Amino acid sequence: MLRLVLIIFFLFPVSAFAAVQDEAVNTVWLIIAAALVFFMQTGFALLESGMSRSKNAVNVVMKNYMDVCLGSMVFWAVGFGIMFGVNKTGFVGTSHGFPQFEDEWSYTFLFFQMMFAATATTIASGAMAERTRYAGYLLGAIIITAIIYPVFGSWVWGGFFGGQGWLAQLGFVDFAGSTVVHSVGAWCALAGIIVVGPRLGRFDPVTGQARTIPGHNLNNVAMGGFILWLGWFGFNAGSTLQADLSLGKIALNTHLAACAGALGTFLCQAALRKPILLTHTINGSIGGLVAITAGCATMSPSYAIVTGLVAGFVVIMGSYLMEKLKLDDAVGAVPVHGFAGVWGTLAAGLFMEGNLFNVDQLWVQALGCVMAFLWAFPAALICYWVLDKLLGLRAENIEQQRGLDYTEHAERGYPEFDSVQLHKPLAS
Amino acid sequence: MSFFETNKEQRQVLQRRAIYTVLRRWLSEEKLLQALHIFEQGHRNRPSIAIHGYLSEIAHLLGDEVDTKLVRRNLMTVLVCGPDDIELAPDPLPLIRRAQTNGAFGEQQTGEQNLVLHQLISDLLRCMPATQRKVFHVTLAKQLKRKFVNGSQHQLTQYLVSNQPRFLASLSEKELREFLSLIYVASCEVLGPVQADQHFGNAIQQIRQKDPGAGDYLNQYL
Repeated sequence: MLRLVLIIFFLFPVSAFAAVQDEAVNTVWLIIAAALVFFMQTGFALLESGMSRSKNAVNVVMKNYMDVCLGSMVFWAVGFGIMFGVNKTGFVGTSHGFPQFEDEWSYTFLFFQMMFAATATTIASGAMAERTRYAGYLLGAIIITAIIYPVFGSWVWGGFFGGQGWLAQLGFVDFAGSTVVHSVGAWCALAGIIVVGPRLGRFDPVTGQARTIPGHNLNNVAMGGFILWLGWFGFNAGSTLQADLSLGKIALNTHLAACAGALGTFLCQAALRKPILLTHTINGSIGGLVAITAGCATMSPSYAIVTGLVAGFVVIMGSYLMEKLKLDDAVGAVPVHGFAGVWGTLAAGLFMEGNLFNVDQLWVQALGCVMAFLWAFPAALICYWVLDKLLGLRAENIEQQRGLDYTEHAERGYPEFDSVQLHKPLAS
Repeated sequence: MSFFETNKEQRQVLQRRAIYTVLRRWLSEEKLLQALHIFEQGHRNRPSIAIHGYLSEIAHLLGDEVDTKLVRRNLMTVLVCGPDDIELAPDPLPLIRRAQTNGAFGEQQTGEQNLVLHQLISDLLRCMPATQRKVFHVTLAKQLKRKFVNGSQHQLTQYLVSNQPRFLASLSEKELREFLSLIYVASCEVLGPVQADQHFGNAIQQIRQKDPGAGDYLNQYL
């Protein structure tokens, strides 16, 4: 028996054996990374529901949950082909709708990218929380996953089955998606915020100042922050698409940027003599994670810290800017994913190892950021505007008064601890 | 009788006849007499030019479908330009008197639901700091104008000014629910959503604790 095994071993070409083994290891790594990215949805659900009032907590979680369910199916059916299909023009993929592959690796790749699409979509749910109708929101999420996200993705990452995106041809660098995933999601969220309007009483009618609407469970927010941080290791390190030696540096950069992001918010708030809130600190570290996503594979750890630190400042200043503009972002998604995403994309060009502070590269990066905004924002604005006209995107005042948990789902997140008795008894 | 008194009486007769003739197109006989009763009660001493105040008070009788601008235009044409092109019906005063004798215009009873709602609204307003009450009323007035048409707005304005629950009696459950929702919205705008929720929650809890039955009545407005 041993002799037979030895004969087979020596007869089988060693290089072929190694290749098969590599592919298997890569597949295992990518599936684990995809599972980590999927786990980020838990983080988003906890963070966003914790930041909203208890009467809307179930609604926020439901939106996150359905984002994955609908987003995954839509991305499989339509989005993947648009994003990664044969891309002759550089502007859109034109093959692989309802994909069936010859090779096994493509299925792994599709599974991993599906999780990215769900992440981009779910960013809007938190920003528009507490006043958006469920059905309208879900339809918006479908359009984002089917069209808005994949079209921009095809410009940068397109051509998996042939061709190349036009931004990639120019040399645009976005390793794991600061712009492709996070900024695009944030610009869609910004459009949603504008169409749906602020929550009742968010801005003082006389002074115009923003009022804080504290979330109902800060422990959930913290838990969500930690889970997102964990998931980000899969998000960034998984984007290598293979289990190689670069994973360590990518994971280290990711971690350092998150730490520095939290420190950035701390320093910024201290400099402004404002209280250092848990929500700001967590948003700061997520801002750091978003920012490092573009350049985690191409910059040194010291620059990862700089990127994260600046992202912390960007998140805080971005939040104040949003309040000044009277835009009600319930969880700070636009500053965290949009503004920090832009900064991270620029930083990826600035701090590229072996090509530091290259102005030409910076211009390409800036062009990519501008194009992401010019595509995603108007497209989402039209989409949400049409949905608002057709279905009514904003919940009625009385629905906001009762809470969307009750009006949209006939459920309550905390029925036995409900101090705000605004509702009829739940339907049994 | 002086010249001025005769003139005034003639004007009132003309107004009654005009109202009876013009509104007949939109109102049933019963509602028409109610509308005339309201005129007799609070508007007969006012000049014809002030007829819009009367129309907004009877607008709940006209309903939301009727174009009040058209009604006003027709009425003003008769009252200001004179009844040249239209044959006016005779003075309906005897009809009003007869209906009055038969008790057709009994005051609408203020139901227990209205009283509970009134209590809730009073509690909420009491919670509001005096400095913010003015802003609250301005905000609410704007929203009432936008959300309610015709007589409902007038009734609710009357209610807010007088603090008398009887003004709530003629309004439907849907209108009252919307009114309470507007009060909530105005509270959110003025106090902020967190405080508004707290005040609402506390006020409702107190009413429910005092009287569980009243809490049941409240449910239909929440």
